[in-house]
Amino acid sequence: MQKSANISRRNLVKSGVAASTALAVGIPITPIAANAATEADKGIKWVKGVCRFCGTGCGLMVGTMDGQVVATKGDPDAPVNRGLNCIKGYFNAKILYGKDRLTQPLMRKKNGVFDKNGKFEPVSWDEAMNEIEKQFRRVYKAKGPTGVSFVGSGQYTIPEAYTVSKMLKAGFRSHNIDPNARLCMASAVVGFYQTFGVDEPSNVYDDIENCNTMVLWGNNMAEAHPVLWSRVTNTKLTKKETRIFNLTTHSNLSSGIADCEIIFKPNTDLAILNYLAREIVKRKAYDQKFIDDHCIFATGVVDIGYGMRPTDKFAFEAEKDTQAKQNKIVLTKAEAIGQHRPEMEGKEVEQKNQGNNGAHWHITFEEYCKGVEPYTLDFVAPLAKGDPDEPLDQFKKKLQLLADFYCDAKKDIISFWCMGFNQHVRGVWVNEQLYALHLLTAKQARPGNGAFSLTGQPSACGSAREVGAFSHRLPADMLVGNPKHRAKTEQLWNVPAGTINPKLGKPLMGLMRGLEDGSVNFMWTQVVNVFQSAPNSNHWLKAARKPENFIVVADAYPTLSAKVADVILPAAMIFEKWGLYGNAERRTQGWTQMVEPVGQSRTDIAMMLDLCKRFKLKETWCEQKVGDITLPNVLEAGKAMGYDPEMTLYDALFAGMKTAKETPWPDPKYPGKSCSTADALKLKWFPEKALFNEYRQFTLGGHDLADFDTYMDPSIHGLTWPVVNGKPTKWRFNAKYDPFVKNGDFEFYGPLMKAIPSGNLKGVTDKTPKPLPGRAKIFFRPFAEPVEKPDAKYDLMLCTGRILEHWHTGSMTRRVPELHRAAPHAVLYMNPKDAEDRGIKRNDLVEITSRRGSIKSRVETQGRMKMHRGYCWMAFFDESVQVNKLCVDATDPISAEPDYKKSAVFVKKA
Amino acid sequence: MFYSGIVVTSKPDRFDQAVSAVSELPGVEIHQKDEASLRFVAVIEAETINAESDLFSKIRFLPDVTDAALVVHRGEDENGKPIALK
Repeated sequence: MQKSANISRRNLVKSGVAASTALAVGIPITPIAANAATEADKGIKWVKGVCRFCGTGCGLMVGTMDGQVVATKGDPDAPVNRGLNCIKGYFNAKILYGKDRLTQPLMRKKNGVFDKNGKFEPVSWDEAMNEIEKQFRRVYKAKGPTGVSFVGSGQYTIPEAYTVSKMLKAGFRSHNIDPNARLCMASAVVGFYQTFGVDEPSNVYDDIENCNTMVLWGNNMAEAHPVLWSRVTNTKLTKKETRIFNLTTHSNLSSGIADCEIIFKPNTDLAILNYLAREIVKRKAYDQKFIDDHCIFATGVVDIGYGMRPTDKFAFEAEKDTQAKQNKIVLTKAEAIGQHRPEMEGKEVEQKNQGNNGAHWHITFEEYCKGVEPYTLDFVAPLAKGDPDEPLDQFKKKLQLLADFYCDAKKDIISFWCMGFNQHVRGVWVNEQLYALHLLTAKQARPGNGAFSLTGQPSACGSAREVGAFSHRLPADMLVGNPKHRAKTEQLWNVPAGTINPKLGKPLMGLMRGLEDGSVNFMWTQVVNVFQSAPNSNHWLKAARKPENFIVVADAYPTLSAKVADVILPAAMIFEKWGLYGNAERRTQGWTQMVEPVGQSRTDIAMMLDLCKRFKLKETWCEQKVGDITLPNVLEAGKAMGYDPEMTLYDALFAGMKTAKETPWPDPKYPGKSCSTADALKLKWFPEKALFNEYRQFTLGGHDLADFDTYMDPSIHGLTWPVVNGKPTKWRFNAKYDPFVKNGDFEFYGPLMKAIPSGNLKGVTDKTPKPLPGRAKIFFRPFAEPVEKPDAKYDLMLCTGRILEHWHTGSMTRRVPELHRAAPHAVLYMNPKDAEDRGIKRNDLVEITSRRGSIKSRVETQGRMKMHRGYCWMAFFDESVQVNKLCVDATDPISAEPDYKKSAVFVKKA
Repeated sequence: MFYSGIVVTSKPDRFDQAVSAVSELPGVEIHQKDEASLRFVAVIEAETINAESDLFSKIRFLPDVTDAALVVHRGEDENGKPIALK
């Protein structure tokens, strides 16, 4: 009887699970099945949540019972994912419970005291924070705001990003906060700024269903944004006219349903885009009225270097030749032609524009046409063809087909891109070039038409970018370097004029280099595993262990970064705290705390507020000499505002917020709920809500967010900003949909759009700045080579990226045995012929060497990544392999984002 | 025991083959089908989340399958009481 009752129960559960699944995705079910769904769910409390992982931002329903997560399901009412999750969605709960989850602070000690060479011992929070306070004060006294640093994350919640930003910029007067979003989206951000004067996409995910053509540029959506790919797949299968192009440097899973796969050589996206622009011009496929009314043409300086140091003082011997290119390169034939200086082929060219790498000016349409003129099919095709075994004619036909689509007024085109474009030594340029195609043809900011920059992390948009937790940014697209923006920020933060340091901080690679060169001696990392994820990592792993450096790692698991730290702080994870994320389509989504943090783990906000309690205004708002500038003493002005110099930064900047006084904890709106931040510090105010509601004030007038409680409302499945009078905005800059458009049918009202001088392809001819109200820029940018290409010794090009089953450095997903089994170790994907030529068979252990280091891994010659000859690929999730030891730390000089996609290596059997 | 509800999308003209291939996997049952949209519901039942995820991956990469997405995930003990997703 028991057995049959069990079988009966299991059958009920399976029927219920099936019925819930079918209901969620609109597959018809019977009334009996619907009953089974309801029965199976009895006793479970469902609460709205958001997936922890990628920038898609899938909505989840999280089922709890007795304080534990017992079920999850894709939220059927979430517009993003409509009930679907990918394989990683399985583990939103399970990641909380890995066996080696950090539950207590750990500090290196010898003989009972901190010792950098000691072993990690468990310590109390007080002991850990006391040592952190001591070390922070040591470095701050010795080197001021430039000696300390925080490395943050696109996986911060919005209140976390806001806390670190305000703490550092208003409290410690330091802009040495940069997130790992520098490593993924910085080029996209600068591309937005330069083109539109404002960050973030103008389109929405609904354009997947609205369009009839999708072009993927360096974006393996099937693995990197799988639920968006489910929507793409569905559109392809249900709308027969849908066509998909996959432009990629290697064949991948996204090629599966693509109508046309175009394999191109790294960096030649620059040339292909100019070919397409030239076709648009030649075929007169541009929209003259749209261009006349809404755009201007522009170009900028070349010879901007590669974002490396100007000196080889710190370079390993083997990397000095690459390093030297920072100052001088020898122009290749393709560069000479593409850059309109054919006489310079084979000659040395000084990289003289390193200091003004973003400089650009207005040009005429005629000059633009001259710019793209060399990019004929016969020039571009041989240059760009990536697979040496593909016939050139076939490749040409594909490019022509792509041009046909971009030139066809009847095609509704969405172009998607992600890391292939952004992690690129000319990432800003290539972002701008893709916007150029869409602006020329008026296929932008309209339903079904747009260039859509996809974001990788769950809240690189909402937290890092929108809040401005960067070394050069302030909230809501304001910039440190702009005095008016600093003044407005000081006003909204209610701090004295002159508090905010006018000098930019160091971007992320600058902070890592700072640890090495001695200019940065304190680093606290949050929600990031930067010693595994930063390129050329042998340098930074060593730098972390230098005696004068003090490293704090706050994380949920003992990552590689934790292993080189001095203090490890256990961090609370997603459903253990209140939070909000902002995804790739400008959708801000919130969740309430659902379970208690494991062990003694605390939220990052609690840790930061604790730090702020230990420092007084008199230590930071005093006069400080910082390099060649002096920060004024603002203590007197602070007194007039009610700030006693003996006040802690906590009281001044956080507990003293107007919104803190308005948001008590417990909050009567949320009876029975916990707040782990408030609990940790015994706060009587609701920190996440107060922080968000203060931050919201920055957003009004163009980036408008709703208030905290709205996002927590179970009936709200996120809102795409600007949210005006409760109404979200889908297509920005389009008068039909965007309440901030005041003039005409389109208005690119980005506030950062500066007046610029005019000139021609060679340079500025008229320095008079001309304003560009409401206009977007169509940039001409030339072809440029990557900083490393395969040569006689390092004869393969290595690209790196992410795979479906694992998230980033595997801190969370590698702990989950299931995902670990799906892809236990990172493998090197190689072409079978390349392997054979080197005496290597599938599954052999090989040693892979670049100018920067060596690692070992197994080889895969089959599987879902198919390499052509000369090219190989590895994911970066595996701590036991650490592919970033190989990667060059060249960056786009304008965005400071590293190029992870192009490092020359050689491979031999281990 | 752990259960997951998956929605599987077959390749065009491969619906029956996809259903058949998925149904042959141990621990997987086929439930609702919607051939017009090439989709069907499969339920995985397994002793560990380990085994569930392996099966999900197998389904995802079957030759006749275009896509697979997880929709519902839960666990229960032998008394029918929900258990934590650990």
